[in-house]
Amino acid sequence: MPCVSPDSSGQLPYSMIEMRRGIFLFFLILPLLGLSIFTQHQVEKRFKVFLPSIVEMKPSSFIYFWGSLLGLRRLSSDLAWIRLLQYYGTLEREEEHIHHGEYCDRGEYENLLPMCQEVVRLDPYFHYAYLFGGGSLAFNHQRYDEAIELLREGIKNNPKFWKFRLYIAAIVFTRTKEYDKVVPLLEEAIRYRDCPEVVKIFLANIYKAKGEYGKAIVIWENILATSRNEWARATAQSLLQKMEILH
Amino acid sequence: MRKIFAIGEYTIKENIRHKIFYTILLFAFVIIVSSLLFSMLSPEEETRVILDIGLGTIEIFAFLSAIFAAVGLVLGEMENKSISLILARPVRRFEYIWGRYVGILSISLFNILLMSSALFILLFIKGWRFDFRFLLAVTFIFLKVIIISALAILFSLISTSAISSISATFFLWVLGHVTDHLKYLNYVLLQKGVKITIFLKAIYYLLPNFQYLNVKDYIGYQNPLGGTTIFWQLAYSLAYASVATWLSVLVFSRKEF
Repeated sequence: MPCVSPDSSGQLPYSMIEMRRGIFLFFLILPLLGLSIFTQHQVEKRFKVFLPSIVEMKPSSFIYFWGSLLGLRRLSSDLAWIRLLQYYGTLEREEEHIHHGEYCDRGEYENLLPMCQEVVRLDPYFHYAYLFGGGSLAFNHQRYDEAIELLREGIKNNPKFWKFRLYIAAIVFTRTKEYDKVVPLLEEAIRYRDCPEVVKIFLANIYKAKGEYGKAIVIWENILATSRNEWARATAQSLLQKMEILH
Repeated sequence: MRKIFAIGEYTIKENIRHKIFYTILLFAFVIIVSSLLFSMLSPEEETRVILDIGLGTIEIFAFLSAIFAAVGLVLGEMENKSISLILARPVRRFEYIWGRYVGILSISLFNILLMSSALFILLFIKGWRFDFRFLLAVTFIFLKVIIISALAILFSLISTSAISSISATFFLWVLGHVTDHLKYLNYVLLQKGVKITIFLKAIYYLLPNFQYLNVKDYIGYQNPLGGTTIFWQLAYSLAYASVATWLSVLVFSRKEF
Protein backbone atom coordinates (compact mmCIF):
# COMPACT_ATOMS: atom_id res chain seq x y z
CA MET A 1 0.00 0.00 0.00
CA PRO A 2 1.53 3.32 -1.02
CA CYS A 3 2.27 5.62 1.84
CA VAL A 4 0.64 9.06 1.52
CA SER A 5 3.09 11.72 2.48
CA PRO A 6 3.31 15.50 2.05
CA ASP A 7 4.54 16.64 -1.36
CA SER A 8 7.62 18.74 -1.92
CA SER A 9 5.79 21.92 -0.85
CA GLY A 10 4.89 20.26 2.46
CA GLN A 11 1.13 20.09 1.67
CA LEU A 12 -1.01 16.94 1.95
CA PRO A 13 -2.80 15.70 -1.20
CA TYR A 14 -6.44 16.86 -1.55
CA SER A 15 -7.85 13.32 -1.15
CA MET A 16 -6.00 13.01 2.16
CA ILE A 17 -7.40 16.33 3.41
CA GLU A 18 -10.89 15.16 2.38
CA MET A 19 -10.47 11.89 4.26
CA ARG A 20 -9.23 13.64 7.39
CA ARG A 21 -12.17 16.03 7.23
CA GLY A 22 -14.55 13.08 6.88
CA ILE A 23 -13.00 11.33 9.90
CA PHE A 24 -13.14 14.54 11.93
CA LEU A 25 -16.86 15.02 11.12
CA PHE A 26 -17.58 11.36 11.88
CA PHE A 27 -16.01 11.67 15.34
CA LEU A 28 -17.91 14.92 15.90
CA ILE A 29 -21.27 13.37 14.95
CA LEU A 30 -20.84 10.20 17.00
CA PRO A 31 -20.81 11.83 20.48
CA LEU A 32 -23.60 14.17 19.41
CA LEU A 33 -25.67 11.13 18.43
CA GLY A 34 -24.89 9.60 21.83
CA LEU A 35 -25.99 12.83 23.48
CA SER A 36 -29.21 12.83 21.46
CA ILE A 37 -30.00 9.24 22.55
CA PHE A 38 -29.13 10.05 26.17
CA THR A 39 -31.32 13.17 26.26
CA GLN A 40 -34.21 11.30 24.62
CA HIS A 41 -33.89 8.63 27.28
CA GLN A 42 -33.98 11.31 29.99
CA VAL A 43 -37.14 12.83 28.51
CA GLU A 44 -38.73 9.38 28.26
CA LYS A 45 -38.05 8.74 31.97
CA ARG A 46 -39.69 12.00 33.04
CA PHE A 47 -42.56 12.11 30.60
CA LYS A 48 -45.78 11.42 32.50
CA VAL A 49 -48.47 12.42 30.01
CA PHE A 50 -50.62 9.59 28.74
CA LEU A 51 -52.16 9.54 25.26
CA PRO A 52 -53.91 6.39 23.97
CA SER A 53 -52.23 4.99 20.86
CA ILE A 54 -53.95 4.97 17.48
CA VAL A 55 -54.30 1.20 17.81
CA GLU A 56 -56.27 1.57 21.07
CA MET A 57 -58.21 4.52 19.72
CA LYS A 58 -59.45 2.92 16.49
CA PRO A 59 -60.38 6.25 14.86
CA SER A 60 -63.69 6.13 12.98
CA SER A 61 -62.66 8.68 10.42
CA PHE A 62 -59.79 9.17 8.06
CA ILE A 63 -59.50 12.77 9.33
CA TYR A 64 -58.91 11.74 12.95
CA PHE A 65 -56.43 9.09 11.83
CA TRP A 66 -54.36 11.60 9.88
CA GLY A 67 -54.81 14.20 12.59
CA SER A 68 -53.16 11.79 15.04
CA LEU A 69 -50.37 10.96 12.63
CA LEU A 70 -49.59 14.62 12.09
CA GLY A 71 -49.53 15.42 15.80
CA LEU A 72 -52.89 17.21 15.75
CA ARG A 73 -54.84 15.06 18.20
CA ARG A 74 -56.44 17.90 20.15
CA LEU A 75 -57.59 19.51 16.93
CA SER A 76 -58.99 16.14 15.77
CA SER A 77 -60.72 15.84 19.14
CA ASP A 78 -62.35 19.25 18.56
CA LEU A 79 -63.58 18.16 15.14
CA ALA A 80 -64.98 14.94 16.66
CA TRP A 81 -66.58 17.09 19.38
CA ILE A 82 -68.27 19.39 16.83
CA ARG A 83 -69.53 16.29 14.98
CA LEU A 84 -70.89 14.96 18.28
CA LEU A 85 -72.69 18.25 18.98
CA GLN A 86 -74.20 18.22 15.52
CA TYR A 87 -75.32 14.62 15.96
CA TYR A 88 -76.84 15.36 19.36
CA GLY A 89 -78.40 18.57 18.14
CA THR A 90 -80.21 16.89 15.23
CA LEU A 91 -83.66 15.41 15.82
CA GLU A 92 -83.94 11.67 15.34
CA ARG A 93 -87.48 11.80 13.92
CA GLU A 94 -87.49 8.40 12.23
CA GLU A 95 -86.17 6.65 15.31
CA GLU A 96 -88.75 8.41 17.45
CA HIS A 97 -91.47 7.32 15.12
CA ILE A 98 -90.43 3.70 15.49
CA HIS A 99 -89.99 3.81 19.25
CA HIS A 100 -92.86 5.93 20.39
CA GLY A 101 -95.22 6.17 17.45
CA GLU A 102 -95.36 9.94 17.70
CA TYR A 103 -93.12 12.94 17.23
CA CYS A 104 -90.94 13.80 20.15
CA ASP A 105 -87.80 15.97 20.09
CA ARG A 106 -85.68 13.62 22.20
CA GLY A 107 -84.21 10.71 20.24
CA GLU A 108 -82.33 7.67 21.46
CA TYR A 109 -78.93 8.76 20.18
CA GLU A 110 -77.47 5.26 20.28
CA ASN A 111 -74.06 6.53 19.15
CA LEU A 112 -73.73 9.11 21.91
CA LEU A 113 -71.38 7.01 24.06
CA PRO A 114 -69.07 5.80 21.24
CA MET A 115 -68.86 9.33 19.87
CA CYS A 116 -68.00 10.72 23.32
CA GLN A 117 -65.41 7.98 23.75
CA GLU A 118 -63.81 8.88 20.46
CA VAL A 119 -63.55 12.54 21.51
CA VAL A 120 -61.93 11.72 24.85
CA ARG A 121 -59.60 9.09 23.41
CA LEU A 122 -58.26 11.65 20.98
CA ASP A 123 -57.82 14.07 23.88
CA PRO A 124 -58.05 12.33 27.29
CA TYR A 125 -57.86 15.75 29.04
CA PHE A 126 -61.01 17.17 27.46
CA HIS A 127 -62.91 17.52 30.78
CA TYR A 128 -66.00 19.19 29.39
CA ALA A 129 -66.61 16.31 26.95
CA TYR A 130 -66.75 13.81 29.86
CA LEU A 131 -69.10 16.06 31.85
CA PHE A 132 -71.35 16.78 28.89
CA GLY A 133 -71.46 13.13 27.75
CA GLY A 134 -71.95 11.75 31.25
CA GLY A 135 -74.61 14.34 32.09
CA SER A 136 -76.52 13.85 28.84
CA LEU A 137 -76.45 10.04 29.00
CA ALA A 138 -77.59 9.94 32.62
CA PHE A 139 -79.99 12.85 32.97
CA ASN A 140 -81.47 13.02 29.45
CA HIS A 141 -81.54 9.34 28.49
CA GLN A 142 -81.38 7.46 31.80
CA ARG A 143 -78.44 5.41 30.44
CA TYR A 144 -76.70 5.40 33.79
CA ASP A 145 -74.25 2.57 33.09
CA GLU A 146 -72.98 4.24 29.94
CA ALA A 147 -72.63 7.57 31.75
CA ILE A 148 -70.66 5.95 34.58
CA GLU A 149 -68.47 4.10 32.07
CA LEU A 150 -67.53 7.39 30.40
CA LEU A 151 -66.91 9.18 33.69
CA ARG A 152 -64.81 6.28 34.97
CA GLU A 153 -62.60 6.65 31.90
CA GLY A 154 -62.36 10.33 32.84
CA ILE A 155 -61.22 9.45 36.37
CA LYS A 156 -58.65 6.99 35.00
CA ASN A 157 -57.14 9.65 32.73
CA ASN A 158 -57.59 12.60 35.13
CA PRO A 159 -57.39 11.21 38.67
CA LYS A 160 -57.11 14.70 40.18
CA PHE A 161 -60.21 16.10 38.47
CA TRP A 162 -62.69 15.56 41.33
CA LYS A 163 -65.83 16.74 39.48
CA PHE A 164 -66.13 13.37 37.74
CA ARG A 165 -66.60 11.72 41.15
CA LEU A 166 -69.23 14.29 42.03
CA TYR A 167 -71.14 13.49 38.83
CA ILE A 168 -70.91 9.74 39.44
CA ALA A 169 -72.34 10.19 42.93
CA ALA A 170 -75.20 12.30 41.54
CA ILE A 171 -75.90 9.70 38.84
CA VAL A 172 -75.94 6.83 41.35
CA PHE A 173 -78.42 8.67 43.62
CA THR A 174 -80.55 9.60 40.60
CA ARG A 175 -80.70 5.96 39.60
CA THR A 176 -81.87 4.93 43.08
CA LYS A 177 -84.23 7.96 43.08
CA GLU A 178 -82.62 9.36 46.23
CA TYR A 179 -83.24 12.93 45.10
CA ASP A 180 -82.54 14.41 48.53
CA LYS A 181 -78.95 13.18 48.17
CA VAL A 182 -78.69 14.26 44.52
CA VAL A 183 -79.70 17.89 45.11
CA PRO A 184 -76.68 18.99 47.24
CA LEU A 185 -74.28 17.31 44.80
CA LEU A 186 -75.81 19.03 41.80
CA GLU A 187 -76.04 22.33 43.66
CA GLU A 188 -72.28 22.11 44.06
CA ALA A 189 -71.78 21.11 40.41
CA ILE A 190 -73.72 24.05 38.97
CA ARG A 191 -71.55 26.52 40.86
CA TYR A 192 -68.71 25.88 38.39
CA ARG A 193 -68.33 27.63 35.07
CA ASP A 194 -67.79 24.39 33.15
CA CYS A 195 -71.03 22.79 34.33
CA PRO A 196 -72.99 21.59 31.28
CA GLU A 197 -76.52 22.93 30.85
CA VAL A 198 -77.99 19.45 31.00
CA VAL A 199 -77.05 19.27 34.69
CA LYS A 200 -78.58 22.67 35.44
CA ILE A 201 -81.78 21.69 33.62
CA PHE A 202 -81.95 18.41 35.52
CA LEU A 203 -81.62 20.19 38.88
CA ALA A 204 -84.21 22.77 37.86
CA ASN A 205 -86.61 19.94 37.00
CA ILE A 206 -86.02 18.29 40.40
CA TYR A 207 -86.84 21.60 42.12
CA LYS A 208 -89.93 21.95 39.97
CA ALA A 209 -91.08 18.40 40.81
CA LYS A 210 -90.53 19.13 44.52
CA GLY A 211 -92.54 22.34 44.18
CA GLU A 212 -89.54 24.57 44.92
CA TYR A 213 -90.34 26.95 42.06
CA GLY A 214 -88.21 29.82 43.41
CA LYS A 215 -85.02 27.78 43.18
CA ALA A 216 -85.97 26.44 39.73
CA ILE A 217 -86.59 30.00 38.50
CA VAL A 218 -83.11 31.08 39.68
CA ILE A 219 -81.51 28.29 37.61
CA TRP A 220 -83.57 29.02 34.49
CA GLU A 221 -82.77 32.70 34.81
CA ASN A 222 -79.09 31.79 35.01
CA ILE A 223 -79.42 29.68 31.84
CA LEU A 224 -81.21 32.54 30.10
CA ALA A 225 -78.49 34.99 31.08
CA THR A 226 -75.39 32.87 30.46
CA SER A 227 -76.21 30.23 27.85
CA ARG A 228 -74.86 30.50 24.34
CA ASN A 229 -77.23 27.79 23.20
CA GLU A 230 -80.29 29.27 21.48
CA TRP A 231 -82.46 26.24 22.19
CA ALA A 232 -81.63 26.38 25.91
CA ARG A 233 -82.39 30.09 26.06
CA ALA A 234 -85.72 29.68 24.27
CA THR A 235 -86.69 26.79 26.58
CA ALA A 236 -85.64 28.82 29.62
CA GLN A 237 -87.76 31.75 28.48
CA SER A 238 -90.91 29.71 27.90
CA LEU A 239 -90.46 27.76 31.17
CA LEU A 240 -89.86 30.95 33.13
CA GLN A 241 -93.11 32.39 31.85
CA LYS A 242 -94.97 29.24 32.92
CA MET A 243 -93.27 28.98 36.31
CA GLU A 244 -93.71 32.60 37.26
CA ILE A 245 -97.42 31.99 36.98
CA LEU A 246 -97.10 28.90 39.25
CA HIS A 247 -94.80 30.63 41.74
CA MET B 1 -19.31 32.96 12.82
CA ARG B 2 -19.54 36.20 10.79
CA LYS B 3 -19.73 34.23 7.55
CA ILE B 4 -22.45 31.98 8.96
CA PHE B 5 -24.55 34.99 9.90
CA ALA B 6 -23.89 36.63 6.52
CA ILE B 7 -25.23 33.53 4.72
CA GLY B 8 -28.11 33.42 7.20
CA GLU B 9 -28.98 37.02 6.36
CA TYR B 10 -28.77 36.25 2.65
CA THR B 11 -31.12 33.26 3.19
CA ILE B 12 -33.66 35.48 4.97
CA LYS B 13 -33.57 38.05 2.15
CA GLU B 14 -33.91 35.32 -0.48
CA ASN B 15 -36.83 33.78 1.38
CA ILE B 16 -38.64 37.08 1.71
CA ARG B 17 -38.38 37.59 -2.05
CA HIS B 18 -40.20 34.27 -2.67
CA LYS B 19 -43.93 34.50 -3.36
CA ILE B 20 -44.50 31.19 -1.55
CA PHE B 21 -43.45 32.85 1.73
CA TYR B 22 -46.33 35.33 1.52
CA THR B 23 -48.76 32.70 0.25
CA ILE B 24 -48.04 30.47 3.26
CA LEU B 25 -48.44 33.40 5.67
CA LEU B 26 -51.67 34.53 4.02
CA PHE B 27 -53.17 31.01 4.16
CA ALA B 28 -52.17 30.69 7.80
CA PHE B 29 -53.89 33.97 8.71
CA VAL B 30 -57.03 32.99 6.79
CA ILE B 31 -57.22 29.67 8.65
CA ILE B 32 -56.56 31.26 12.05
CA VAL B 33 -59.34 33.80 11.48
CA SER B 34 -61.67 31.12 10.08
CA SER B 35 -61.31 29.26 13.39
CA LEU B 36 -63.94 31.76 14.57
CA LEU B 37 -66.46 29.99 12.36
CA PHE B 38 -65.63 26.59 13.83
CA SER B 39 -65.76 27.96 17.35
CA MET B 40 -69.36 29.11 16.72
CA LEU B 41 -70.31 25.45 16.29
CA SER B 42 -69.13 24.74 19.81
CA PRO B 43 -70.15 27.79 21.90
CA GLU B 44 -69.23 26.22 25.26
CA GLU B 45 -65.68 25.48 24.18
CA GLU B 46 -65.17 28.48 21.91
CA THR B 47 -61.68 29.52 23.02
CA ARG B 48 -60.49 25.92 23.09
CA VAL B 49 -61.45 25.43 19.43
CA ILE B 50 -59.80 28.71 18.38
CA LEU B 51 -56.66 27.82 20.34
CA ASP B 52 -56.39 24.33 18.86
CA ILE B 53 -57.04 25.38 15.27
CA GLY B 54 -54.62 28.29 15.73
CA LEU B 55 -51.79 26.20 17.21
CA GLY B 56 -52.33 23.46 14.60
CA THR B 57 -52.17 26.04 11.81
CA ILE B 58 -49.03 27.63 13.23
CA GLU B 59 -47.30 24.26 13.37
CA ILE B 60 -48.34 23.07 9.91
CA PHE B 61 -47.42 26.34 8.21
CA ALA B 62 -44.14 26.69 10.11
CA PHE B 63 -43.33 23.14 8.99
CA LEU B 64 -44.27 23.92 5.37
CA SER B 65 -42.31 27.17 5.25
CA ALA B 66 -39.26 25.43 6.76
CA ILE B 67 -39.24 22.54 4.29
CA PHE B 68 -39.94 24.75 1.29
CA ALA B 69 -37.11 27.06 2.33
CA ALA B 70 -34.71 24.18 2.97
CA VAL B 71 -35.51 22.28 -0.19
CA GLY B 72 -36.15 25.27 -2.45
CA LEU B 73 -33.05 27.22 -1.51
CA VAL B 74 -30.39 24.54 -1.00
CA LEU B 75 -31.50 22.08 -3.70
CA GLY B 76 -32.47 24.91 -6.07
CA GLU B 77 -29.06 26.49 -5.73
CA MET B 78 -27.34 23.18 -6.46
CA GLU B 79 -29.55 22.53 -9.49
CA ASN B 80 -28.96 25.91 -11.12
CA LYS B 81 -25.26 25.80 -10.15
CA SER B 82 -25.40 29.22 -8.48
CA ILE B 83 -23.90 27.52 -5.44
CA SER B 84 -20.50 27.64 -7.22
CA LEU B 85 -20.62 31.44 -6.99
CA ILE B 86 -20.85 31.25 -3.22
CA LEU B 87 -18.31 28.47 -2.78
CA ALA B 88 -15.85 30.30 -5.04
CA ARG B 89 -15.61 32.91 -2.26
CA PRO B 90 -13.73 32.21 0.96
CA VAL B 91 -16.69 30.38 2.49
CA ARG B 92 -16.14 26.95 3.94
CA ARG B 93 -18.74 24.29 3.28
CA PHE B 94 -19.79 23.90 6.91
CA GLU B 95 -20.26 27.68 7.08
CA TYR B 96 -22.56 27.52 4.08
CA ILE B 97 -24.75 24.73 5.59
CA TRP B 98 -24.90 26.29 9.06
CA GLY B 99 -25.57 29.70 7.54
CA ARG B 100 -28.47 28.33 5.53
CA TYR B 101 -29.78 26.55 8.60
CA VAL B 102 -29.59 29.67 10.79
CA GLY B 103 -31.37 31.66 8.07
CA ILE B 104 -34.17 29.11 7.75
CA LEU B 105 -34.61 29.00 11.53
CA SER B 106 -34.73 32.80 11.74
CA ILE B 107 -37.43 33.02 9.10
CA SER B 108 -39.39 30.19 10.76
CA LEU B 109 -39.14 31.92 14.13
CA PHE B 110 -40.39 35.15 12.57
CA ASN B 111 -43.34 33.26 10.98
CA ILE B 112 -44.20 31.54 14.26
CA LEU B 113 -44.08 34.79 16.24
CA LEU B 114 -46.23 36.58 13.67
CA MET B 115 -48.87 33.84 13.58
CA SER B 116 -48.83 33.42 17.37
CA SER B 117 -49.40 37.16 17.82
CA ALA B 118 -52.41 36.99 15.48
CA LEU B 119 -53.78 34.01 17.42
CA PHE B 120 -53.12 35.71 20.75
CA ILE B 121 -55.03 38.84 19.66
CA LEU B 122 -57.93 36.71 18.43
CA LEU B 123 -58.07 34.80 21.72
CA PHE B 124 -57.80 38.01 23.71
CA ILE B 125 -60.76 39.50 21.81
CA LYS B 126 -62.73 36.35 22.63
CA GLY B 127 -62.10 36.81 26.35
CA TRP B 128 -59.50 34.09 26.78
CA ARG B 129 -57.59 34.16 30.05
CA PHE B 130 -53.83 34.03 29.48
CA ASP B 131 -52.29 30.67 30.19
CA PHE B 132 -48.53 30.04 30.39
CA ARG B 133 -49.06 26.76 28.54
CA PHE B 134 -49.76 28.77 25.37
CA LEU B 135 -46.18 30.07 25.38
CA LEU B 136 -44.91 26.57 26.11
CA ALA B 137 -46.85 25.16 23.14
CA VAL B 138 -45.50 27.84 20.78
CA THR B 139 -41.92 27.29 22.03
CA PHE B 140 -42.21 23.57 21.44
CA ILE B 141 -43.57 24.11 17.93
CA PHE B 142 -40.33 25.97 17.26
CA LEU B 143 -38.30 23.08 18.73
CA LYS B 144 -40.01 20.71 16.28
CA VAL B 145 -39.17 23.12 13.45
CA ILE B 146 -35.52 23.17 14.60
CA ILE B 147 -35.34 19.40 14.09
CA ILE B 148 -37.36 19.16 10.88
CA SER B 149 -35.45 22.01 9.18
CA ALA B 150 -32.15 20.21 9.85
CA LEU B 151 -33.62 17.00 8.40
CA ALA B 152 -35.05 18.86 5.40
CA ILE B 153 -31.60 20.26 4.56
CA LEU B 154 -30.09 16.79 4.90
CA PHE B 155 -32.68 15.26 2.56
CA SER B 156 -32.29 18.08 0.04
CA LEU B 157 -28.59 17.17 -0.13
CA ILE B 158 -29.14 13.41 -0.38
CA SER B 159 -32.02 13.34 -2.85
CA THR B 160 -31.94 14.46 -6.43
CA SER B 161 -35.37 16.03 -6.75
CA ALA B 162 -37.43 18.45 -4.68
CA ILE B 163 -40.41 16.08 -4.57
CA SER B 164 -38.45 13.15 -3.16
CA SER B 165 -36.81 15.43 -0.63
CA ILE B 166 -40.14 16.93 0.52
CA SER B 167 -41.75 13.46 0.63
CA ALA B 168 -38.92 12.04 2.75
CA THR B 169 -39.15 14.98 5.18
CA PHE B 170 -42.93 14.64 5.41
CA PHE B 171 -42.57 10.90 5.98
CA LEU B 172 -40.18 11.53 8.89
CA TRP B 173 -42.57 14.15 10.30
CA VAL B 174 -45.34 11.55 10.41
CA LEU B 175 -43.07 8.80 11.76
CA GLY B 176 -41.78 11.16 14.43
CA HIS B 177 -45.31 11.46 15.83
CA VAL B 178 -45.87 7.72 16.12
CA THR B 179 -42.49 6.43 17.32
CA ASP B 180 -44.20 5.17 20.48
CA HIS B 181 -45.98 2.61 18.33
CA LEU B 182 -42.66 0.89 17.77
CA LYS B 183 -42.90 -0.29 21.39
CA TYR B 184 -46.32 -1.76 20.66
CA LEU B 185 -44.99 -3.37 17.48
CA ASN B 186 -42.13 -4.87 19.48
CA TYR B 187 -44.63 -6.27 22.00
CA VAL B 188 -46.77 -7.83 19.24
CA LEU B 189 -43.73 -9.31 17.50
CA LEU B 190 -42.36 -10.73 20.77
CA GLN B 191 -45.67 -12.50 21.35
CA LYS B 192 -45.31 -14.07 17.92
CA GLY B 193 -41.75 -15.14 18.76
CA VAL B 194 -40.02 -12.58 16.53
CA LYS B 195 -37.11 -11.00 18.41
CA ILE B 196 -36.00 -7.78 16.76
CA THR B 197 -36.07 -5.60 19.87
CA ILE B 198 -32.57 -4.19 19.32
CA PHE B 199 -33.35 -3.28 15.73
CA LEU B 200 -36.60 -1.57 16.72
CA LYS B 201 -34.90 0.23 19.58
CA ALA B 202 -32.25 1.53 17.19
CA ILE B 203 -34.95 2.85 14.86
CA TYR B 204 -36.77 4.34 17.85
CA TYR B 205 -33.72 6.34 18.91
CA LEU B 206 -32.67 7.29 15.39
CA LEU B 207 -36.05 8.68 14.39
CA PRO B 208 -36.95 12.13 15.69
CA ASN B 209 -39.40 11.81 18.56
CA PHE B 210 -41.91 14.60 18.00
CA GLN B 211 -44.48 13.12 20.35
CA TYR B 212 -42.52 14.32 23.36
CA LEU B 213 -42.32 17.81 21.90
CA ASN B 214 -45.99 17.94 20.95
CA VAL B 215 -47.06 20.07 23.93
CA LYS B 216 -50.06 21.49 22.08
CA ASP B 217 -51.63 18.01 22.15
CA TYR B 218 -51.49 17.66 25.93
CA ILE B 219 -51.96 21.29 26.81
CA GLY B 220 -55.14 20.27 28.70
CA TYR B 221 -53.08 18.21 31.14
CA GLN B 222 -52.76 20.32 34.25
CA ASN B 223 -48.97 20.33 34.63
CA PRO B 224 -47.76 18.96 31.33
CA LEU B 225 -44.04 19.32 31.98
CA GLY B 226 -41.69 19.94 34.86
CA GLY B 227 -38.63 22.20 34.67
CA THR B 228 -36.15 19.37 34.23
CA THR B 229 -38.25 17.71 31.53
CA ILE B 230 -38.29 20.98 29.58
CA PHE B 231 -34.51 21.20 29.96
CA TRP B 232 -34.02 17.66 28.59
CA GLN B 233 -36.47 18.27 25.76
CA LEU B 234 -34.58 21.39 24.77
CA ALA B 235 -31.26 19.51 25.00
CA TYR B 236 -32.71 16.67 22.91
CA SER B 237 -33.93 19.00 20.16
CA LEU B 238 -30.59 20.79 19.95
CA ALA B 239 -28.55 17.56 20.03
CA TYR B 240 -30.71 15.87 17.37
CA ALA B 241 -30.68 18.95 15.12
CA SER B 242 -26.88 19.20 15.50
CA VAL B 243 -26.46 15.57 14.43
CA ALA B 244 -28.62 16.16 11.34
CA THR B 245 -26.85 19.40 10.44
CA TRP B 246 -23.34 17.97 10.83
CA LEU B 247 -24.44 15.00 8.73
CA SER B 248 -25.51 17.54 6.09
CA VAL B 249 -22.05 19.09 6.32
CA LEU B 250 -20.51 15.62 5.84
CA VAL B 251 -22.66 14.92 2.77
CA PHE B 252 -22.11 18.41 1.38
CA SER B 253 -18.33 18.24 1.84
CA ARG B 254 -18.25 15.17 -0.41
CA LYS B 255 -20.25 16.80 -3.20
CA GLU B 256 -18.53 18.08 -6.30
CA PHE B 257 -19.80 21.07 -8.24
